[in-house]
Parts: sequence; structure tokens; C-alpha cells
Amino acid sequence: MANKDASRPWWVGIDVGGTFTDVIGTNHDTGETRDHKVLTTRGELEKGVLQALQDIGIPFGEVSEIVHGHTAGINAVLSRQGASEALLATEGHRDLLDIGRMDREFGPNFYDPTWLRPHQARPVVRRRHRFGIRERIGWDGTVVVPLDEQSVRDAAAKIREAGIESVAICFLNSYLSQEHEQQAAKILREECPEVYIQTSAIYPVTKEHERTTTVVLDAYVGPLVTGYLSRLEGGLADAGFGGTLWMMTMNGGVGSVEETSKAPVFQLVSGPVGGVSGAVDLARGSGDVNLLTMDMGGTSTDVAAIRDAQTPMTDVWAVEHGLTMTMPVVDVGSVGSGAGSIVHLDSLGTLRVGPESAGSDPGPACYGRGGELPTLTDACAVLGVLQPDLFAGGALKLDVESAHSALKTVADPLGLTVEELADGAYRLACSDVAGSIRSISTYRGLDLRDFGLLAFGSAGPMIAHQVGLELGIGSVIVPTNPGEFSAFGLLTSDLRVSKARSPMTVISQDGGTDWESMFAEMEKQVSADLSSQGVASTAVVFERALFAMYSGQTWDNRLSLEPGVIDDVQVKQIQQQVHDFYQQSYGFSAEEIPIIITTLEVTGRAPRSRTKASVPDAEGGEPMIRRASVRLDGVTHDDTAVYSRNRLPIGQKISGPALIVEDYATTVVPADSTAHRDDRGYLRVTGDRKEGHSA
Amino acid sequence: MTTTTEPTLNSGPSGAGRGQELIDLETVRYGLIEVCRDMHQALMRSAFSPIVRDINDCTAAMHMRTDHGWEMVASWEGCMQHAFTSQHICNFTMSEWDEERLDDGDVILVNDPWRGAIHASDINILRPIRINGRAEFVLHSTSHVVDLGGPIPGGFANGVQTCFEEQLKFPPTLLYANNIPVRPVFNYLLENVRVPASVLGDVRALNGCLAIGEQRLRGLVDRYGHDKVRAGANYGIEITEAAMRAGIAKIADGDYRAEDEIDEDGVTGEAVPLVLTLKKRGDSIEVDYSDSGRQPLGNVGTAWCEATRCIEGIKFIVDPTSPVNSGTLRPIEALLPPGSAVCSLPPTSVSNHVDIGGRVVNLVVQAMSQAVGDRAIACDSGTLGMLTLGGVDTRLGHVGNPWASFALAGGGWGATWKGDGLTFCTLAIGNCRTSVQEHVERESPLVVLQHEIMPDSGGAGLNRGGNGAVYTIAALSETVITVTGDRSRVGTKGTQGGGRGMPFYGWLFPDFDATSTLDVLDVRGAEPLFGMFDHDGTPSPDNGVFGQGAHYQTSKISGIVLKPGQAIRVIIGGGGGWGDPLKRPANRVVDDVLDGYHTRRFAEAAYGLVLDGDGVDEAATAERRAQLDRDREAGNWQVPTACPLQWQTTQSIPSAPQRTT
Repeated sequence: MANKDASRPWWVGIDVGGTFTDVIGTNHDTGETRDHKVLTTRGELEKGVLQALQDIGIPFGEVSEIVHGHTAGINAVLSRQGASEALLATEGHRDLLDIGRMDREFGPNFYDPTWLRPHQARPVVRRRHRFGIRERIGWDGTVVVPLDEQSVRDAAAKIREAGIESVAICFLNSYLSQEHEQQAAKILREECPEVYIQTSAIYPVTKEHERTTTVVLDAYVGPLVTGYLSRLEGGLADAGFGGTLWMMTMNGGVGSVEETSKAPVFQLVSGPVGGVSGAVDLARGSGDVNLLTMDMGGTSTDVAAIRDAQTPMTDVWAVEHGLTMTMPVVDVGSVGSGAGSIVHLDSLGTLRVGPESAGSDPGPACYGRGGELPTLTDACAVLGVLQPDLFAGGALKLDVESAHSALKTVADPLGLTVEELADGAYRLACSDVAGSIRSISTYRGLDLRDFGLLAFGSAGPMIAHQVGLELGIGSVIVPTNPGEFSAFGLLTSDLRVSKARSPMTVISQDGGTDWESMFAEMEKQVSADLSSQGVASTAVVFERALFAMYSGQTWDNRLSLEPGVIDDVQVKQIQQQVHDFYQQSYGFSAEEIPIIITTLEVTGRAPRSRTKASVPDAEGGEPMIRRASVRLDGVTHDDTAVYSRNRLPIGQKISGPALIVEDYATTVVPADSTAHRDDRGYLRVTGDRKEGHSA
Repeated sequence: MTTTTEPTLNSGPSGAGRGQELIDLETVRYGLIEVCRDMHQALMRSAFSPIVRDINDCTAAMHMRTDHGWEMVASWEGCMQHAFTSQHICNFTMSEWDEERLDDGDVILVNDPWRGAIHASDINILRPIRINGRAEFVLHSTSHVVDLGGPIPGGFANGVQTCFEEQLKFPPTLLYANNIPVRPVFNYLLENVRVPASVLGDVRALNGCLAIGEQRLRGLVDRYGHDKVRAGANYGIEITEAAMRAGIAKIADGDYRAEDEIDEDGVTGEAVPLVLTLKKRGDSIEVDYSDSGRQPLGNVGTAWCEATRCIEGIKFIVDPTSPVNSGTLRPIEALLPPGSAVCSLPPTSVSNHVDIGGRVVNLVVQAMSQAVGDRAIACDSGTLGMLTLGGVDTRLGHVGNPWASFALAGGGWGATWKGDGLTFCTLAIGNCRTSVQEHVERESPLVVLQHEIMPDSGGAGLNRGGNGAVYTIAALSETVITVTGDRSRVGTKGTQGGGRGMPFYGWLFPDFDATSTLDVLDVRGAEPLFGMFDHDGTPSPDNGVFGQGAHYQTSKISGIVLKPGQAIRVIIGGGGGWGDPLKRPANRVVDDVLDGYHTRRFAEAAYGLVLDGDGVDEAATAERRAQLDRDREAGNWQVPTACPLQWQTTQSIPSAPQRTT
């Protein structure tokens, strides 16, 4: 596909976050990169986006592609500012959202008798707008009770009367037959032509609660997201943009506005996904095919495990407890530790870091903007990990005294020195992130020793070595411009379309299956969707996955399939793959029990042409800026070398202890490690210690 | 009173005085909880029976050898089997095990209620972890299994009197020797249960998750050393103990007494009185069950361990946040008179367990409420209202498959000082999830017709009790059902002037087809199974008679048989209300009516609401509320128990359903 031409050399990535709108542009012809940040304009996101694009100084007419990720959807869900919505459910089952699978969340609120399930406390669909519709599909997909059209029309009348903007339709067992849902949708379109309507067709798989949540959230954010996109498209066209606008989605790929607007819920969260896309691209290019990614920002850290340079996928995603969606999403975990996480004594009187954060305003005490609570950033300033005058390219001089005073308020009651406390807070934060990485890798059955740790986000590089130590990973990689890696990742994303079907079949011993034809049919649909976005069918790469479990179970497990036609030989291999997965993940396998394949999933991706990777040459000047006193792992090194990343010649090895500083990040090289810039410009830190306790 | 441990109230933070070691202690403390989380996740995702894999009736814990025996250092709860009881199981098991002959990879099975297991259906698997040749930790997983043999499928042996009439009981038994399954034990287990494939699968998953846990725990020990891991575990226990004691110390010293009862003993119609006196001194509490009724005839009594789960009610109020471990138990002692309902002696049957387990939390909540005034909370529904279902499938393609399943619809929790109560939740002593109904229908010959909020089930109050559920299920093949529930005679209590929640009800629909209504207030053609009814079959908790016109004089029933085309409906009660319902802002009551949490009639009767169309008639409401208030003062009005006031019923005398013999 043509995604650049001579008159439009620029590609632009735009990542709209809760606080900042990040924009990054790269020029295909020259390799030039420009980036910029403006405050997000809530409610009218397109204003901030257009402003950022103007500020960056790239003429709209010279941009061939814009790749866009945003958080409009998730913000609307979390703040309950989505559409006024109605739900049509099978009669007798309209309260699925309140049931939320019925359990309480195990954790700090487990014994709190005042706790309410989030959807009870703050409903997405009020109960008065949930309509039970008389109809029933049976367990085998047959119609047990025909759809009562009149009850749909009655609901439609109430929907009109109440001025409802959006309707979700999700019936029981509709994963087997969508006849009734489609029939109801047709009636509603006649009765309420102005209303946004969504059905299970967006992802028709089993599990009624999760499927209902997916459809309901789509209807909740659909009007708002599609409205925003049409305003943005209009604004861009008015400004002279004549290229293609691609939307980032949670499946790790991009799609056209038209295609992704069919199911806007797929773009509920796209920021963290950009980082994973960038990491997958890096893995493909550099040969580091197994990577744990760690994206630490101000308030949280996103982690993912990339194996064989494949985008890690999962099929469930919990927005809040009791609101769990099912759809193919990039498997990114999040932990509430960030650079702004507050160091404090919790209610038990013991030391914790986060999850509360000082955010960007007032920010850490050392920012000198009125923040009084000590944060991880303050701890790093006291330890010397962050050099006060080199932080943010010198734009913000850190006030170490303030950091010291703030930390003292916590150190004193514990009887620790400020330095001891700072050291401890740093290690605890790293331990939390390491725990989160372990938890996402355990169920994948991964041996972490085969992995490298890719650290990005402004704060990722400063904790990477310690997290690696906890995990037993000896190799840390820091990409170019780690602070903008997520926005950059948008530009590297493939076009992706996913489809799934739930056959719920047992693997028979002779291997005969009809999966090949099911996969082939879905691949045809995927190709059609991609070709409508300008992709040649020959350019599509398919990734097949299936969800397997033993007969008698219900927690299915996603397994990626090797490429190739599914024949008897491959079916035998799949069986062995399932047994091995169980042994590694759950401590047993049960080879005499039949295996059930619940769901087949296909993702088609069309690689977009790649941006030219520019490796900046070393700037002139002495690489070592100074020697400084830095405390690492309880030991103070008075003569720690501080290097400028941009001045380091490619390939030159430096020995720890050292700091490598760039404008928006600092990488720590511990005492028994070495570091160098490789020929792609990535920083690589390699240690000899492997003390971790990965499972 | 006596306490086992001296008060250790800290003046400063728990972390004080630990020096730099604090960071390792914290890291290990969290690391141990993580090990349990991973065990639990592995267990749930790999188990076979619906009660583990979907309903999440399973838990993982870790115990450590200390100077006080074996103490629980961390756990991850599914359904809370472990929180307050599991270290007792470990102590019983390890104290009689021949440690001299213990080998790595030896795994022990135990489900004896008198050795700390809650009831025989919860099987416990213990894996001692040896370090330098001695067992230092025990990893422990538990789950309910859908069937463990005996005359009544599913293990809730309602109507029997001895443990010999229920299911298999295992004293500590070697299940794996050096990671090799002990064949005679597996043979015995699998040849005496109805659904051996499911039980085998669950046992493998229970053991498998401990193997995963062992890898993780050994990783921690390798990294930090045994001494530091032990120190971190002890640190976790100590800070939890300190938090509990600090919370207890804030309550005024005194004796707080509460009385309640179980509807009937499981054999006769005789109620089982329960009395609890909470004696609070300093930072310790003694829970005294003296004056509780004698050991009941039927299966509703409990072995000693169950009634100590009332600690949860104390924790709710004094210290909701600290992680549960041995430190939670240290400040509290329980006096359980042997031969009483809370310490029934073998060979009685204790298979019900949930009704007393749930009620002791209600009792503590009531007692604590006297101590804390307006920080009181109301009681939850007080019953699980559980259906145990099973049979042999006759659907095409499934003919001959034995199947077993559970249905838990969830009741309401009590309203609190903070707001309305939680809707759709099991008793506090559990934390079960719902089944995936689409999976239930595929695997079992059942149609889940209805699982919704029951209107007018939450107790009226300034803050309303959480709503209970209505659950209706139809059979496609002949299905044998056990119903286990309580609070069918009187709804659960409110507090601070709040009303009672709706009690537990059941109906059978002899002919249910595609044209039948699911309107919960239309019970024409339905046959009452149990509950408080008027003479014409209208549910009436305040004025009805228990069992009037119904098939059963109890809600603890075995052997209901549903024929294909028949359906059963249960209504699980709601939580109690908090505060005076006449003071609930009228617009919130209107919202409740519009959302169907309350019917209009009940809102008028319990809240004094007068509606004008869909809006409030403010003046008329104020006047009616004033009148009701005066009537209450005069003793002529009280807040009605939650229950819809308008039903459609048939007055015909129902025919008796079939019973298995």
C-alpha cells in the first residue's frame, strides 16, 4: 500500500493522554524527527490535536499518514460520561452488569462492608433502561422462544420517550446464533433511527457477562468516539490534510476511521498499546525476539511480555471489578508505581510506594512547585540517580533539599536516615514492578531468563537494572528517545483486523477437524476488511490462535498456532502444545482427557511501510560529563561516572557504576555491569549478576 | 477473661526500629502473598468442576513453622475457606504426621471437619516444603468438590443425622508420595464418587497449583535465604496483629450480647438458638458462645472451627484493610461449648455448615453494632440459598453423562453508615462467583431462565439493604435438587431503625414452557415449596404462617426431583436496612421505584412515599411520614419486612412433588 509520496514526506503519531497530547513526526526523506507536547483539551480533544500539529511546524499538506491513539473512550467510562444508554437483554437476565460475576475483589477492600461493586455504585446503564426481551436461543443454538417483536417495539417506545442515545443488544447464547439480536437491531433501527445500536456481532464469543460488558461499553462510548473522530477528520481536512488517518486499537494494530468505527470499544485504551507496538517492531528489527516491556511514567507502569516478536494478546480486559470485557486485546498489565508515586507509611505503619501519585501538579517535592509529599523521583534525586542539573535537559533543576526534607518526614518515624529510606523506597518500587511483570508472565509459562528487559517511559531506564535483578534478567535495553517511545510506537503499528468464532469442539483422536475451513472463512473476511482499507490481499499476514482447555473445564487458554494448514499432523502437535502448556502453567497435564477448542481467532496484519530508523551519530565532545556520588543498592559510589548518551560513540563499552543521561531519561549502569550504544542506537546494559527468582 | 497473647500495641509505626532490614521484610511479605495469588490463579484456571473454576470456591494459603506451631503467613482467597480456619487444619495434620518419614513431594489430603475442615465437601491438600531436611512451610489449597459420594449428591446432606450418612471423610491421608500419586487412595476416592472425572481433575489442579507455589517459594528462599523469608513472614503477621489490636482498642470495653437463631435443626421444626457475648477488654476480644442451643439433631450444627469465622465480622468493623494471616487471629479467643450447636461432636453431620457460618458473622455484627453506635452495619441476608443439582443427562449427544452443578444466586448485604448495601453477593464467609450460564446450559440439561434483582428484597432504611436475587431454572432431563437455606421464617435484621430484609422463598413450577411468564410477582400455577405465606399463597413475612400451603416445613431439603419441563424458583433474601426509612430522601425512593428496586406499593408502605405520576408529592409525603412516625411512637406501626405487597397467586392446594426414596 502506498503510504507515502514525494509531496508528503511526513508521518505523524498523535497520542492523546489524560494530561498531555504527545505528537511525534518523522520525515521519510530526511529522517528528521520532531516532537511536541500540549495539554489535552478535554471535551474537545480535536482542538489540542490540531494545536499540537500546528505547533510542530509540519505543514498539514506534507503529512501522508497520521496514526492516532486516544483515551476518550476510557475517560468516558471511568468518569461515567458516556452516552445515555439502554440495554436489551434476554428476559430474566437484564441485571448481568450488576451481578458482575457476583464476587468481591480480593485485595485491600475485601473486608470492607461498605464496598459496592462499581456498576452498582455508578451504573453505566440504569436499571430503568434495561429491558428484558422475550426470546431464547438454546444451548445448541436452536430457537427455543421466538423473538417477541412487540416487546422490542415497546422498549423502543420507552427509549424514544427517555431520549436515550445508544442501545446495546446482547442476548443469551447469541454466540451460537445472532438471529434474534439482528432482528431486534433491525426493529430498533426502524423505530429509533437516530440511536446508536451495537450487538454481539462485534465479537460473538461465549461468556454472557463478558460479552454483554463488551457490547454495553461499545454503545456507551460509540457516539462520543465516532463524534470526536468525525470532528477531527473535518478539522484536519479544513487545515489541508490530504493523507490517511489511522486509528490505534487495543488489538495492537491500526485501522481506518471507517473500519474502526464499526466497534469503537476497540479503541478504549490505546496509549499503552503504542508502546507494545513499538517494542514488537524493535524486536522484529533487532533480533531481540523475547522482551519484557516496562513503560514507567508519572503515575503507573505498563508491562507486557513479547515472545518471538509477536504482539502478546489476551481475550479478557477488566475495566473495573465486575466489568470485564472479552475481545482480542494487547496483553498489557499495569501497576500503580510511577515516578510520581508517593513514598508513605500505610495504615499498617509500614513503608509503601504508591499507588497514590503526586501527578504532574504539584508533582514531586524536588520539582519545587509546591509538592510536599515525597515521591520516587525525590528518592532518586537524593540517591544521586537523578542529577539535579541534567534533569529534563536542564529545563527543570531538581531541588534536592526539598526532596530531602520531604523524605525525612517518612524516614524519621521509621528511625531510618533519609538515604536509607530513599534506597528502600527505590527498591520497593522496583520490587512492585517486578512482581507485576512476574504475574503477567506466569500464565504464559515463560522462562524469564530467555528475555531482555526493554525499558522506556521517562522513568523506565532509571529503575531497569534493579527490576532486572529482581527478575533474574541480565540484559536491559533502552530505545532511542525512551520518553516518546509509545508515541513513536504508533508509527510502527501494523494494520490489524481480528475475527473469532466459538466452535466449542472436542479434538478427536484421529485429528479430523473443520477448523481449516473456519479459519479460511474468517481470513477471507479479514482480507475483505483490510482491502477496504487499501491493503492488497498478498500483503496480509495471518496469525492464528485458538483457545483450548480440557473437557470439563471453562477457563480456556490462548495458544498461538504455527503458520500452516491445519492437518492431522498439526492437530497432534496442538494436542501436545496444550499438554505442555498445562504442565508448565498449572503443574499438571491430563493426557487422557479430551481437549476442547472453544474459540478460533484470526488476526490479519498488513505491515505498513516502515519509517527509516535514524541512528544519530555521536555528538562531539567528551562523553563523560562528570563524576558524582550515587547510592545504588545500599552502597554509595563516590566516583560514579556520568555520561551523555548522545556523545557516546557507537559500540564503546563503559563500565558501571555509571549513569547515562539524556534529555528525558537517565539509565543506571550498576557496579558489575557494562553498557554500550549498539549500532541501532539502543543502549544495552548487561550484567553478570543473576540473582532473581523468576518462576 | 484470659488472652493467649500479651497486648503489643505499638505507639509508633510497625516499620519503626527495623533499620534497613525493613525493605527486605516488606519485599518478602509481599512476595509471600504473591506466591499465594499465583497458586490461586493457577488453581482456578485449571480446575474442572464448576464450583472451583467458575464459582471460585477455592483458596490457597501458606503456613510456616513458628514457635507457636504452624501459622498462616499469607493467603489468596477465592471463597474464603482459609481466612480464619486453615492454620488449624495445618496444625492438626502436621501434629499427627510422621515427619521423620516425610519426603519432598509428599502431599496430604484431609477433609475431616473435626480436624478444622469446614465441612467434608471442602477437600484440603497440603504440601510440606522441606528446607535442609525439615518441613518449614506448608502450602495449602482447598476447594469444594461437587460430589464426594454418599447417599445425597452434592454433599449437603439435608435431613440426615450422622456423618456416616453423608460423604467420604479423609483423616490426613498420603495422596502423593514423592510426587507420585498413591494409587490405592486415588482408586478409593474415584470409585466412590458420582463424577470421578471432575473430582480427579480438581485434585490434580489442587496439587498442581501447590507445585507452582513451591517453585515460587523456593525462588524467594534462594534469593533472600531462609532466615530473611522467615523474618518477612513474621513481620507480616506482626503488622496485621498490631492493626487488629489498634482497631479493637478503639472500642469501649464491655460485654456485648446478641441472640439469633437458625430456623430449624434440619430434622424437626425446632429452632436452634445462638447466643454470642463479645467481651472486649483493652486490645483483645473474647467471643463467648455460652447459652447457645444444644447440638442439633440434623446437619445444621458445626464442628468447632466454623464458628470462629465470626472473626470476619470483627475485622469488618475494626480493621478492614490489613492482610489476613495468623496475626488476625491472635487478639481473639473463642469459647465454644462442646456439645453445643457451634461445637457439635462426632458422629453428627455438619454438612450444612453455611447457615451457622453465616449467622455467627451476623451475630458479631449485631453485637459490635451496640459498641459502635452509628458506625453500625446491618446484617446480610443470612443465607446462601444454595441449589445443588445433578443427574444423568438425556439430551441427544449427551446421553448417559452424569453431571453435577451448583447454583448460587447471591443475596443482599446489609446497609451501612456509608450507603446502601451490596447487591448480589454471597454470605460474608464466602465469596462465590456466578457460573457462566452459557456453560451451565451446554454442560448440564438445565435452562437458566432468570437471574435478576428481586424487587423489595433489601430492607427499608435511610440506607437500603442490598437486594437479593430471584433465580429460576428449568430441567431438560430429570434433575435431583438439594436446597440449603435459612432465614425463611424471619428476614435478616436491620439496624439503627432500618427494616428487615426479605426472607428466603421457593416455588416449583410443574409445567413450565416457552409461554410461561417470568414475572416474579405472578406465581399462578406455581407450587410453594417453603416460606411465609398467607392463606391464599401470597408471600407475607410479617403476617403469614411458615409453610402454610407449602410442601415443606423447612428450607433444608434433599431430593426434589424436577422432571423435564418443570422449573424451580428461589428468592434469596436481601440485607437489612440502616436508619429510619422515613428519612430517606424522597427522590432516592422514587429512583428506587423507577429502577424496580422497590415496588410503588412497598415504597408507600415502608417509606411513606406519595407519588404524583413519576414524581414525588412532597407535601403529601411529608404528611404521611409524620403520621407514620406518630403511629410508630404509639406502637401502631413498624417498618415492614421487605417483600412485595401485590402478587398474583392461585389458591389451589398444590399436589405433592415427587421425592426420591
